[in-house]
Formats: sequence, C-alpha cells, structure tokens
Amino acid sequence: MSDPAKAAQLRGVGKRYGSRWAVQDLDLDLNFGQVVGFIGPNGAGKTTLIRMMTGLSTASTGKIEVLDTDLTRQTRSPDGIGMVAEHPRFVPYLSARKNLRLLARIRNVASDEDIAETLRRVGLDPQDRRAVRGYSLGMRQRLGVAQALMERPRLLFLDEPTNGLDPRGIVEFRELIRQLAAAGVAVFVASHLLTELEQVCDRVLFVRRGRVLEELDLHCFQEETVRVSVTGPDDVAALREWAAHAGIALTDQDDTRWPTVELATSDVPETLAHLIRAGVRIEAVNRTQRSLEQRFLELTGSESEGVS
Amino acid sequence: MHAVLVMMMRLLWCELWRLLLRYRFAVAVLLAGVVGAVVMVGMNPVAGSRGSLYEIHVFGALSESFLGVYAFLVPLMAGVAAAGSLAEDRARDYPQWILIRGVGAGRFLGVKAVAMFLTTVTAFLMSQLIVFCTATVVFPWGTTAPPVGAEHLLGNHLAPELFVAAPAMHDLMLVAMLSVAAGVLSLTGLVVGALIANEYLAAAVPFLLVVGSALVLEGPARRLSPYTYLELDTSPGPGSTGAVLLYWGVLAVLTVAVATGLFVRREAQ
Repeated sequence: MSDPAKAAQLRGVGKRYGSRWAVQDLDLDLNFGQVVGFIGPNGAGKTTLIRMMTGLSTASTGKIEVLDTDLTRQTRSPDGIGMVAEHPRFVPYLSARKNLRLLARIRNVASDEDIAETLRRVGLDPQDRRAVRGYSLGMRQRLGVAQALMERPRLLFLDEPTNGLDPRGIVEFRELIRQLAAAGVAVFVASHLLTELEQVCDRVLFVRRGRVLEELDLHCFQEETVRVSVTGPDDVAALREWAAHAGIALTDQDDTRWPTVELATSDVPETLAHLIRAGVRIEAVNRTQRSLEQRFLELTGSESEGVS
Repeated sequence: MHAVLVMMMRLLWCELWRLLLRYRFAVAVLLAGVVGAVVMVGMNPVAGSRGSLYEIHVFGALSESFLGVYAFLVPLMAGVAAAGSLAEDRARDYPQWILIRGVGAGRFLGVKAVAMFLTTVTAFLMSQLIVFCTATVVFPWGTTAPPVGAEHLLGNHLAPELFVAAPAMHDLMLVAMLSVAAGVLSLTGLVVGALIANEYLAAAVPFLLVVGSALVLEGPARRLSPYTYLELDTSPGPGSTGAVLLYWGVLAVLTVAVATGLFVRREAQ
C-alpha cells in the first residue's frame, strides 16, 4: 500500500466457513480522516470483516493491507488499531481505570494521565472506584470506547458503538467521531442506526450475505425527489400520464391526507409548471431527500431480516 | 525479540494480577488450607499414620498428612484457582482486548498458561502455610525423628530415606511436588477453555481427570493416571521424584500445546 493517505485497502477479500461465505469478493479503501459505515442485515459479515481488518483472523481469499501491514495471512494486529466491540465486557471486579491500566500496560503506550483524560472524554469519572460489574450498558459502552481511544489509534473500528447509549451519549459520540476524523483518524463503523451513520459517515457500504451491494458516497448522495399531493383520483391519473410522457419515475405515497406521489426529479418550478399546464390540481408540493434508510430498504427488499 | 519478551512479561504481570485478584483464588487457598488443617488435626500424634512408633513433630508433620485426601484436594483446588480462567475470558470476549494490542494468539495462550500455573502454585503454597501454622498448634515444636531403619515402614512413600534423614526437607519436597502437580492440573482447563467458553466445566476438568483416570485406568495403564502421581503413598507409587517431575512436565507440555493449537485455530477463524 504505497499511498500514505490510505489506512486500509482490501481487494477481493473473502472469508469462508465450510461451504458458506461470510464475506465475499469485498473491495474497500479507507483513508485517514475518513469515516466509512457498514450497513447490512444480521449475518452480513460485519464482525467477520472487522476481525479480518484488525488482524484477529485471516481471510480465505484476497488481500488485506492495514496501516502498511499485510494482514492477508497474518493474525496479529498491527500497532495503531483501536476497536470497540458490540458488547464490550471487562474484568468485572475492577474499576474502569484499573481495567484500562491493565490493558494499557501491555503496549505501555498510554500513561495514567492519558487514561484519566480518555475516561473524561467519553463521559466517565476517572475517580469512580466502583467495579465495572455495577456499570450500565451505556457506561460499559463508553468504557469500550475509552479502551480503544486511550492509545491514540490511527485506525478505529466500531461495532454498534451506540448500543445502550442514552440520547445525550449518542450526540456526544457523534461529536467524538467527527473530532477523531478531523484529527486524521480513519474510522470504520458498523451500526444499525442508519440515521447516525448518515450524520457521521463519508461513505457507507451496503452489504448483504457478505457481498457489497452498493458503496455510497454520502457527500454525493443528494438524490432529491418532489412529493406532490393532488386533490383527487382524476388528478393522480393526469399526473401519471404526464410523468409517463416525461419519463419521470413515480411512486405512490399513502401517508398523507391527499393522494400523493413522489417524482424522481429535483426540478420543482419546472415540474409545477408542467403539472399546472396538464390540468392537475395541486394541494401541496415539497422537496425531499432520500434517506439512507430508504436506500437500505430498497436494496435489501422486503425480506423480514433484522438490520445489523 | 527483546521488545516481544518485554511485552510478554508485561502481559504476564497483567494476567497474574487478574488471576490473583479473583475471589476464586482466595476460595482455593481457604479450601486447601482448611481441609489440609482438618486432616492434620485429625492425625494421631503418636503412632503416625503408618503405625510406626514415633512421635510426630511440626517438621515432618506435612509429610505425614499428605495422604489420601490430597489426591482429590489438589485437583479440586487447581480447578477453583485458575483452570476456568481462559473459558471465563472467552465467555467475556476478553482475549480480543489483548489480541488487538498486537499480542499473537499463541503468545497470549503461552503467557496465560504460565500465569495459571504460577497462580495455582501460589494458592497451594499459601494453603500449606495455613496447614503448617495448624501443625505448630497441634504438634510439639521440633523435628519428627523416625527411628533408623524405619524406611520400610513408609511403604511406597516418595523418598523415604529423605524423610528419615531430614523430615523438614521431605515436607518441602512434597509441598513442591504437589504445587507442581496443582499447577499442571490447572492447565488442563486450558484445553476445555479453548473449546468451550464455560468456566465451570473448565474448572471441573482437573478433578474429573484425576477421578476418572483413577477409576478407569487399571494395571500398567495406571502409570498414565495423574492419580498415581498425586497419591504418593499407594501401590504402584510414582517411583522416583524424577518420574513425578517428568510426568507433570510432559503433561504440562502436551496440555499447553494442544490448547494453543485449538485456541490459535479458533481465533484465526
């Protein structure tokens, strides 16, 4: 990996368990200062991918380079990696600070001051002597984030990082991610909170059954539509006729008082002018932007799978 | 290489700290200490356990008490002290916090094995301190003095000549032997811990192994049973101290090798 801006590069990466592929043919580039999200149903290969990218397990196929280390066949994490697991659990009979001290001692990178500062940064009290067995899920989550941050990683992996956090915690966490990215840390985050990902990520990967369905650059994901509510069924028919003639895709919306359709266009004045000329009686018009959630549902279809 | 060694030493310190602070460590010390003390209090102070006619004194009392019950007490204590440690860690997904810090899975398991061994040995030594203190209360101060030629009264006891010549040294030797046995038996929990994240099952392994092998292995096969090397006073007996150390050494190496292979394989997946 010759590009110094790249924190991780994956090419054709696959992981097979017996005859089942958990991850298949996956390409990914992650630059420093970038936040990349991972969205997929349960079993999409999220944990498998994070384990491979952190050097905890090997890939069956393809090439993985992380922080200038070839992890294709190596099962040892390179320096500079931080990870927050989905359900972080620690030594239950020790305090948060003692737990972090133990882990920090292994690499001997973070000082006691660093630990105290990191605990404060994630909203925990460094002077709290309670054993972590008494911590709530949200507090354990914060501690998980602290253990990942205390050694100042250059590449951070987050697996459902907002699990158990209260609304304030989620807002703080979002701000923390932005700060880290601004400081040049590359962040890879898997979460089922699509609205959260939408707010912090530069790019997202939609993954299903181990394959990337789509990679979306959220800076370019400005796909706007126009929602038009009309007076009655005759107007809907006229609108349909006009849309078919103009070659504009149209979807029915049933969540409003009037018959409403969504037009795949962003040109409101021109659309309005055309509809009025076509004799369509308009009750309301508004511009909307497609959410990540909608895109996810479109991609994954109507199967009743949970989101991971 | 030096950096790796330093990191492993730091990891060993962390592992030891975690194991020694567990309440199970205190339970193991008290279990072996209290049961050992009860056995000692129940001993006949005059006749000795083999009907030999000499009075038992403080030094030499431990050798007299290391009979019967210790063959089961040692594996039980080893299970409580440390055998379930890896399974407990895996149930908590704790190894990932260590492995993510650049420690290879094989190295982690190696350090874990050393920490478990040292923890169990420490627990046993501390328990024997309780037993020794009990001996100072129960028996008269001084050295047990078996009559010259009493070796034949000691049956298959390990190094009977040493017991006759220097009972205190014999005490220390047996404590050392049983400490090593306890430490190695605790390692058997690593194998189960590498396979199943169930600390209770892993903690039961040393005891089940000893009892199972004592019940199942017959004839020459009894030489393979850990019971033979724990029950130091029964036929066929372990033979020499060298044989005892060789047995526990081989068992330790095999156990750690198998556990490491399983753990590394599982982690790589």
